[in-house]
Amino acid sequence: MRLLLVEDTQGLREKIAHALKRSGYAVDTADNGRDGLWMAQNHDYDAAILDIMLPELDGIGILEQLRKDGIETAVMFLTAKDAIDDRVKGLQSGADDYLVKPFALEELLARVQALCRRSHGQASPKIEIADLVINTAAKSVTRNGTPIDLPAREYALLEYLAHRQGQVVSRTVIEEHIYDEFVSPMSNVVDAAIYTLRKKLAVSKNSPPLIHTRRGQGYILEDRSQ
Amino acid sequence: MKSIRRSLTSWLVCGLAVILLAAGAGVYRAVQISLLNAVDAELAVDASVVRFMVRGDDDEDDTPGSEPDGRRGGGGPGPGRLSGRVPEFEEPQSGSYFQAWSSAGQILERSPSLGSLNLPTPDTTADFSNPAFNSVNRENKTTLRTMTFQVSGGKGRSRRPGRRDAGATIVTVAKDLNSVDETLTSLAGGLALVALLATGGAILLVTISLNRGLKPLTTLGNQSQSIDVTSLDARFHSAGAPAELLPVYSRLNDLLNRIQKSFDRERRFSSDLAHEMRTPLAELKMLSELALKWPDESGPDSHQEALDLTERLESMITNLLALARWESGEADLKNEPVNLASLVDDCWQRRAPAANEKNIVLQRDLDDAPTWNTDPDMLRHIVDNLIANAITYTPEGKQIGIFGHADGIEVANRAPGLTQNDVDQFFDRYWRLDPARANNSKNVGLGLSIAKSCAQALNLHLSARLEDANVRFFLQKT
Repeated sequence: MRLLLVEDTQGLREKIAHALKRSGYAVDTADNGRDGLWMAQNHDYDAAILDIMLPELDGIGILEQLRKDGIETAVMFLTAKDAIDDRVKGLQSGADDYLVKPFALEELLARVQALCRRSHGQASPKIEIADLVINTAAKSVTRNGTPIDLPAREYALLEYLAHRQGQVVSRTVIEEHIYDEFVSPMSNVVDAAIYTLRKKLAVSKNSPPLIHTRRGQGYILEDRSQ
Repeated sequence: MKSIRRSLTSWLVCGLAVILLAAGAGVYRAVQISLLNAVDAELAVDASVVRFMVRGDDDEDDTPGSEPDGRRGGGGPGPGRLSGRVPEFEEPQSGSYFQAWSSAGQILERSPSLGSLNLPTPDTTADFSNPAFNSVNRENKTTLRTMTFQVSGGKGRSRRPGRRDAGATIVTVAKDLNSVDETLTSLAGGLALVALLATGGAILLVTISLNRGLKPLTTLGNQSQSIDVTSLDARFHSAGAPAELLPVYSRLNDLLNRIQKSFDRERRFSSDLAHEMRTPLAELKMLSELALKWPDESGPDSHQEALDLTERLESMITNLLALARWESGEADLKNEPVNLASLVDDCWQRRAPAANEKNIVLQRDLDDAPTWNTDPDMLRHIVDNLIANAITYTPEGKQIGIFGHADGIEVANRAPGLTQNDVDQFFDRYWRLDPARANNSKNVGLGLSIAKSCAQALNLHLSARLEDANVRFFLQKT
């Protein structure tokens, strides 16, 4: 999942970005509204976290411009304004969620997760593919009842593929959405991660493979056993 | 409670009633006078008849054999003879009377119409060469109008010595005023009725016209009822309002403008305060949560950061408290001699690292700086805020000028892009050049506002001027 974080207070921006990265998200940051808008217009983000009071262009301005451009990225406002009027105004301008500073880190993470899930049309936190069960709320994975322990990055990759199950997801898209810094075209970081994931998902000899390669196009996560 | 409607109605109706009363009285009096004049004219006609008759009698008296005493004795020419010639003096109810007296007060003649009645005896010694008119109330309540005149013996008579010439005959002719009284009574009734109707009509008219006239006030009242704290952007609509109320409308709208502005400012203040306090608080909270969630990552750096954040919050709260205390006049002020030059140097010394970081050059000329007897702490707060503000907003590598003048000091710095509007708002709480705040600054925007309050508390004048992209702050003795 790739997130955009626009927050002008440097300390807060760095800390939120750090927490999100540690939770397995790829995070891009901007410290003013204009840069934030440019990034949101030019990259495909799973969700955007915008501060409302920003230099040059405020959060609501960014959101309005995005919606005008037909970009439907899920947006959460982060703001110090807590008057009901401000919240209503934020939500009415098309935001999907609203979080008032100071907030609890866990709440931020949970809300961001729900936001990403919804942006992939998935209301329930549970994704089931054959005997593979991914609980996006608990960030836990089981196969045939056996828990699979995945580091944040690998979990993020699996969840991303699961959100798009049955669709071919290209290496570039994976790089964009899962990896923080854009990896070099020559790098095989995605291939390596897929290899590791496949190995971990094969909990028993009877477990059919779920991640398939479509040569020259990318990877696809689906149940082909039937 | 005072009511325009009630007081206007009562004033108008009372005034109208008084005018009607006066007019009625005037009309009544005029009619009365003209009716009496008419009666008097009739009396004058009667008088000339009686005069003629009395004279005529005298002439007849002159006939041989007739004695002057004979008249007194009732013989010779008598009332019967006299009145017999004029029928209106005959009939008892004719309303026309006469009576004649000798100058000694003896009744000489009286008209039969008088019956048992006697006309009041005039003062026979008085001179009636000019007839005297009088109104006499009789016991049976009919009023009499009398005309008393004297019939002198005449020139002929005076030529006759030995005849009664000691005085003239005093004659009173009288007429009943019954018809006049009746006319006047019905006139009074009519006038009263008219007055009553007019007053009633006036009450009605006044009520209706007041209702119509006061309608704009009612409209204004209704409009004002719909305006409260939540709808301060509403304005009074003067369309259709009368010219007299237009100034009221414009004043009210001006007032609303000012209230809205101060409300907006207060709202902005609390929202800015929320932002200022919540942002470092959020950072601090995030820092602690990160340390709890991933303990391996927390180290001296994050502890230092937490300390910095706490200090920032602390200075913010101290500033707010100081501002509140100084504005409410709670703080006790000292009065000590303070050398401005050394105070400025001291403040600059403490801010020098920040200035060096931005390669800011200080241009200092404090030779003329005065020494003031004032509160050193508060003055330090002002000067420190001015210097901190200058360092924050001066572009990298530019100069800050601090100059001493006879009446105070001046702090000047380059301020590209600053507008007069910005300068006007300098001393508002939480105003900052960039509404989204500069990063990592301990300056909270409260600085200039507090400095201004402090200056006021010390009877100093703090002002700012914009000149050729230079902003110059002046701190002067008032």
